[in-house]
Amino acid sequence: MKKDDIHLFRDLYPHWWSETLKSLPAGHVQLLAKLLDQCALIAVDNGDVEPWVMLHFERLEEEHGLFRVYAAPTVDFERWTGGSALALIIAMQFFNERQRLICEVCGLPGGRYCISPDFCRPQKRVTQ
Amino acid sequence: MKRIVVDKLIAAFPLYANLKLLALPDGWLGIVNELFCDFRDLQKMMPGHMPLDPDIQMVAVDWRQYQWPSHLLYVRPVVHHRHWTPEMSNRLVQVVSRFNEFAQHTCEVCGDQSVGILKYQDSRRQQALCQTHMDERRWS
Repeated sequence: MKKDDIHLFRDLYPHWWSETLKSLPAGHVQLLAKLLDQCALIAVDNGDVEPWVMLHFERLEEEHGLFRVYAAPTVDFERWTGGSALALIIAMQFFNERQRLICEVCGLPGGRYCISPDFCRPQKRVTQ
Repeated sequence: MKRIVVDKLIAAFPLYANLKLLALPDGWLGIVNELFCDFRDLQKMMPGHMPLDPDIQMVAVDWRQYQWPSHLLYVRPVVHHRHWTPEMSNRLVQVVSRFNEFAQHTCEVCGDQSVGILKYQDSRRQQALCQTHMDERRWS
């Protein structure tokens, strides 16, 4: 992740920011932006300004070294609607699953590593 | 939790239990057991579910350690999002919130309802305890 992005996420979402996200590939930054935006909107939709979930990010070896987001709801579950809960699940799964489909370098669809070397000259990351 | 207990949970809930449970307080066995039953039952809410369908993993679990509450449950959905209905999603939110809420009021030694939080003078982490275990520790 670029320095500018780090500052942006830190300012916009201090409650969700985690230092581990610094190593999120540049091409996946948009996925993170969409996830956090969606999570923020869940509170907004329900007329709240405080976040409705806590998020935890972890890079998992068994998931091919991709980031995985976990969530814990923070507000009383009786305030949640089925729609908000489903929106959260879909936002999380899009973030978790789409990393396999989006180029780590240029952020375009077509696989985790771009198929066109002319396009973004992927520096293939060696994953254990 | 002790290894022998964790092994039993792994045998009973192979999709949800793992060695991360070793970090949790002994007294949480009851609520963890209930939690895993709730995860398993989520599958029954899936449209088109048949009673003899094999169990599938609905969520992946992680526990984060904090000063207080001592451990917080986090989940991520694993089964594809097309299988989730609003009712199932809401139920998952409920199950996770309730667990994190109950856990704070559960004696970390025996699982009874806790009466308070014991803060230690040394480096040990604070604990939610029932009356019996509070008394026992306060004077030790």
